[in-house]
Amino acid sequence: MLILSLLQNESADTYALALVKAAGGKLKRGTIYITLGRLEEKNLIEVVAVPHFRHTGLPRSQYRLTGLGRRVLAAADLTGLPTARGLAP
Amino acid sequence: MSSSPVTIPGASYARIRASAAEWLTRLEEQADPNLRDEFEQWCAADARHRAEFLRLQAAWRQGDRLARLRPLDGRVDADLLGVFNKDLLLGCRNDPRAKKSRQLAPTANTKPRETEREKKIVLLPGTRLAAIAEFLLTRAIFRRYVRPIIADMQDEYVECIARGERWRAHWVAVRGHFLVVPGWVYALVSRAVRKFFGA
Repeated sequence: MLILSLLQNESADTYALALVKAAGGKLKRGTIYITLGRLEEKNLIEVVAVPHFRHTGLPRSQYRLTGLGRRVLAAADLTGLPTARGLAP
Repeated sequence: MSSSPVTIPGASYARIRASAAEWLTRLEEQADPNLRDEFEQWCAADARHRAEFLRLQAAWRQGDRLARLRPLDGRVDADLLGVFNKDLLLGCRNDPRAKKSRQLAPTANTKPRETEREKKIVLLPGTRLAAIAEFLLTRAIFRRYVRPIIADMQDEYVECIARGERWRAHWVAVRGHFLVVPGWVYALVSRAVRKFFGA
């Protein structure tokens, strides 16, 4: 839920490392990729490969909520599950 | 003999150039998919739009690379050469004139050890690992669990090198390689479990 609510803010940077920073210590660098991969497997988020402007490395993955992810997040809000509210923007 | 006057749309061209520069800045600042869609629409509106954008982008990138490659103490940064200028390095290595000039006129700053290092560092860290993983793993596992880690590591590595933090860059590379392992193991184990239980 924390990741989904962080991804809800579309204007923010939604790379994996940016999510780790935005979570303020609640997400770890070592597990964020596995968690994001599992969320993608469940079709809650989708990945956009963004090519680099500065070097010729692999394209970075930017994550976005899918329609299903938004509905799950809305349902979590209704049921009172903990989300990222209250974290620093 | 009179030739027909050629109309140069100066004002509109200046407008296109200004718009292209604005798009270049906006796309550099943020990688918003919606912004990308708007940009594609702008390109589709006139064939000159994309041409002018690509021309400006090429100049921008070249300038950025030159700024990063600028030697601060008179020596060329081997890591940056490896990252940004692989073709140039390989070309110099095979160019007999370059070899001769190196032999005839060694400068005070040039050390043989550095030259060997320049020859070795020609790829971003993780490039070989990505190639091996792409070969061994399925496309979905590679895309979900391996590529994001390596891509983020490469981005951090280049940032550190550009800031001159060489030791931190090496640490980022080592840490990135170790981070790949849990994702790899998780993906393989979960696939095996699913296969075992027939899910």
